[in-house]
Amino acid sequence: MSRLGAWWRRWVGAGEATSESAGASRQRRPFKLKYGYFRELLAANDLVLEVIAELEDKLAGTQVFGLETVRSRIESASYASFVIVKNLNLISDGRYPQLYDALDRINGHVQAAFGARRHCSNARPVVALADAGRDDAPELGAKMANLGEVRNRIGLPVPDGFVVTTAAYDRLVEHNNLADKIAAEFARLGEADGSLATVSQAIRALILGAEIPADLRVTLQAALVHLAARIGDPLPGGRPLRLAVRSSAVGEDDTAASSAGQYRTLLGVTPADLPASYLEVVASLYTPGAIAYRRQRGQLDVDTAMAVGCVAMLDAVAAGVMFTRDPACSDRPRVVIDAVPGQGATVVDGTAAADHFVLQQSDPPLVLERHIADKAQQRVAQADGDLVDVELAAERRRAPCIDDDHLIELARTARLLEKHFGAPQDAEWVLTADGQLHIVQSRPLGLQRFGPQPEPAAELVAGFTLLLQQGITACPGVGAGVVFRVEREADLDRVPDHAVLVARHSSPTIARVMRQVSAIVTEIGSVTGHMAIVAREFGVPTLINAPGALTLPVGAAVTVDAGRARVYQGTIDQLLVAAQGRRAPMTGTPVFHALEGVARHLCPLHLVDPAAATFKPAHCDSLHDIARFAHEQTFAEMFHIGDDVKRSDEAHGVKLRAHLPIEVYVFDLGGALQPGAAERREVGVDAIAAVPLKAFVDGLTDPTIHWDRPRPVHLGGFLSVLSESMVSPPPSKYGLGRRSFAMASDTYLNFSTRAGYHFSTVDSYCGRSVNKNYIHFRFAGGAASEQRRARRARFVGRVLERLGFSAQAQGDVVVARLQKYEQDFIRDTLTTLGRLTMCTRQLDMLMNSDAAVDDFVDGFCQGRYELFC
Amino acid sequence: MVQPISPPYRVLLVDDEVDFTAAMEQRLTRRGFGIAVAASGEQALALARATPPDAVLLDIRMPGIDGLTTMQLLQREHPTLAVILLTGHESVRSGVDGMRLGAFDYLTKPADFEELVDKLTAACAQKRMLDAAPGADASGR
Repeated sequence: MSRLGAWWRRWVGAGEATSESAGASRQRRPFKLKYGYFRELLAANDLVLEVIAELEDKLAGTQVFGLETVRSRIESASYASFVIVKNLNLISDGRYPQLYDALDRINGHVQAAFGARRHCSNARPVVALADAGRDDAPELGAKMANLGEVRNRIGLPVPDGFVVTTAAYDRLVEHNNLADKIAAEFARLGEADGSLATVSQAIRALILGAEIPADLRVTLQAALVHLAARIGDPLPGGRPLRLAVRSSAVGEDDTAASSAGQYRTLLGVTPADLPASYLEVVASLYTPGAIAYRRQRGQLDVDTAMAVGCVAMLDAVAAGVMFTRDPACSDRPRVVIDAVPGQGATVVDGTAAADHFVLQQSDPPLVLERHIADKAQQRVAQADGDLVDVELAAERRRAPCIDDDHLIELARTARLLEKHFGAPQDAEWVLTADGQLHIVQSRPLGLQRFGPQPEPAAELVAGFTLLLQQGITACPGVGAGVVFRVEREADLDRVPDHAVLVARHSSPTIARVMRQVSAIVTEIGSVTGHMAIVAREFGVPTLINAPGALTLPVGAAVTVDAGRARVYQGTIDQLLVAAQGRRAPMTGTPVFHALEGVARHLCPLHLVDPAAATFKPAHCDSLHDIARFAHEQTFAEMFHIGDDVKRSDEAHGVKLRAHLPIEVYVFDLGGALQPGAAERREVGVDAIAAVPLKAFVDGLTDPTIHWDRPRPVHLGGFLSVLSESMVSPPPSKYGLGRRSFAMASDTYLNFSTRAGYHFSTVDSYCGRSVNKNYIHFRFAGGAASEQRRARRARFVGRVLERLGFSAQAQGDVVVARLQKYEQDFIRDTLTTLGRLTMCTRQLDMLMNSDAAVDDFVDGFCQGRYELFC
Repeated sequence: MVQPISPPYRVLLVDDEVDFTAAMEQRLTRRGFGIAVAASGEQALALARATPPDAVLLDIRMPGIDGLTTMQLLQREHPTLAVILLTGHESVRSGVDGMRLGAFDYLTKPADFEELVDKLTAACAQKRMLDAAPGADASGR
């Protein structure tokens, strides 16, 4: 200790100070400043506890949330914790430097829990498909890594091409400073001007307007030249080289989250257009559907990156999708194939009717079912390479667009794929004019999320009108709700919760409302389409190819039994039982894991007992601990200030003489007490001069509240408070908490009360200026069971609402505010809050049922205070 | 309320945001403080050497020597000097470091002006008191 420091200590007389080295902050601040620090600290404490309550709500896993909102709240809570620690040290003349260590440690954990991001060590901006394999997924995205695997390890025909990697994506993002700009846009989400659509639009505009760095441009050009050299341009058939530019996002197409169809694939792209098309596919990372999809799935935006596959277009005579297992009966070895003539894009986006085949995976494979659709059009490449939709000749409209030999070959391919990848696959294939089948995509089918299989044709439910009985089950299950018809994408913004969504054709954009709808029925669509995949992933009962879907009565309640392809009028509870528990919660998602990881350092309260030996900074393991510890110490310190400042002319605590189960100390900030009273150690209630303090104390000491009468013991309540005796008025077992502090001036009151096990703070301005007047009230704590505490919080919240407060109850914390009222009203309300504080003293003891909450609310508001004693 | 203090409390404002220091200089001068302005840590050190201030209002983020380093250098030369740190970005990291290194306070922009006046007044008063106290000298740190 320096000479200066030693002198300073002597002067302050802080001989009991606990530790070394808080530097210059170990200096005494004037009382007025300390009072300001105290108020800041209380506000910061409230914020920390609010955030903790919010996180605990989210940890229930039932609400969908994005991480950046959570992150900004947590950062606010971290900073508020710093303010708490700083101000406690400033109030206490630097008595708690170890609290900085604790904060440092916990904040480090919080940052680390947030810091885990996507990491990609390899820096190749472009990788040829010939060099790609499954292990390259972090670099190439799962879709393209798998395609490389299909080509190079399984040895199936795959079109030639290359992948622009996530390293290139990172380069693009860095070069254009996109990370900050995108984060700024996301910060607008939820604000007045920040709808999902506008934020998505703004982010995509940022990406579309981004500059591709010169080195990346050169690399792309070189890759194109190499590709053309390998396969020829023009191609051997004479047509110019065109590309399929495919999204291959990191996190896309893994087993847990298929994100099917949320990102762009562009067909028929000329080599010259590749840079623009590349940006367009990258931008599709942030379509409303893709953002909403990641939210619903709990994926982290920071973990997302877009690799882009650039693959030579094939001259397709037919194309389609193949499931190596039938999702409707995944226990049997069946292959499902959807096929359209020409290019296959119309299968996956659900805009055209497709031929539908089911094959038995026997040797040789056997075609079990064939549903030949009426195919009006096909999409084909013109001589210049551009894609156009052309009418199909009459004789081909109802003819299968793929023959049995190729179906059987596909089924064999299915077996190879499933064997190699070790799981059922969802593959896209192309048949070229030379009779060759090519695989252009293979990803896990994600069957593990399928619900129970539908029972074989059960009887109709008697007494209900059948509206529709036709269609293909895309996802079995039962859902009921009001019919909502979607005709254009904008309609998706207005889909009510639990609606039954009907549409002409299935569409990947519907994925963005997947979590909020009860069922989906479309007139056109395919079980192998993107919407159907996502519906199965979310377990939303979905019926497609159901003619008459658009005749379902809009606005009326219907029940969809997708497994049996039936839609009934009205809500049929007996059928809905099957639908229970199908909603995949946030639990298990990356966002949820991240939240859990962070919440560990925020929420748990270890320092529960101020009397325990472990009630120390070194034992603080969460921000909650820090807040709890600092809060307790702050009141102790504020109390000490009374002792410290006696010799000066600063205000100090005066004990209030009153018949109360708590000791009240008044800190006069000016005009709270009668002249001269502030110099005394103890004063009576009649010494109070200030309106707000007097009003509150009047309520506390209301003679009709007999807090000192022995109360009947309700055994359940008694046990839930465990070991504490509640039979007679509170014994002196309340430690520091038993002291209550009134920081008061003529117009201001900050009254912190620990009564029983509850902690309440009233903060109020009560003067002539209506605009300044307010009451903030916070109520927390309680020793009873969680359920009883929650009931008590509900009780307090409802009473406050009846008093005109806007109140929010979160867990067992109630925060309420009321402002801009006349002084008389504020005064009367403070008196009522005084009564409420006394009446809720041990209320959770009595809260043995939900009905009791209403009884007590009525009782209190009618002034029957004997109920509470 | 003009401070009836003689000589007036001297406050050094250090911030590369010229608009901010200009506005602050004007308002604080009106409240009776003697104000000097520096746009960088280097400039602050030179000014403090020429005329030692009672308190410093110091921005954390500046080009050149950053705020925390500037504070340490100032304190080495002027051990009783009170430094109030200002930051535009709430940061637990720099806040903890700043307070550990002996800042008088750590505030986020925009700070409430009346509170700032109270804090600067207290900071200046502390410096004057320490300087007047027996045994206070530069070697103590």
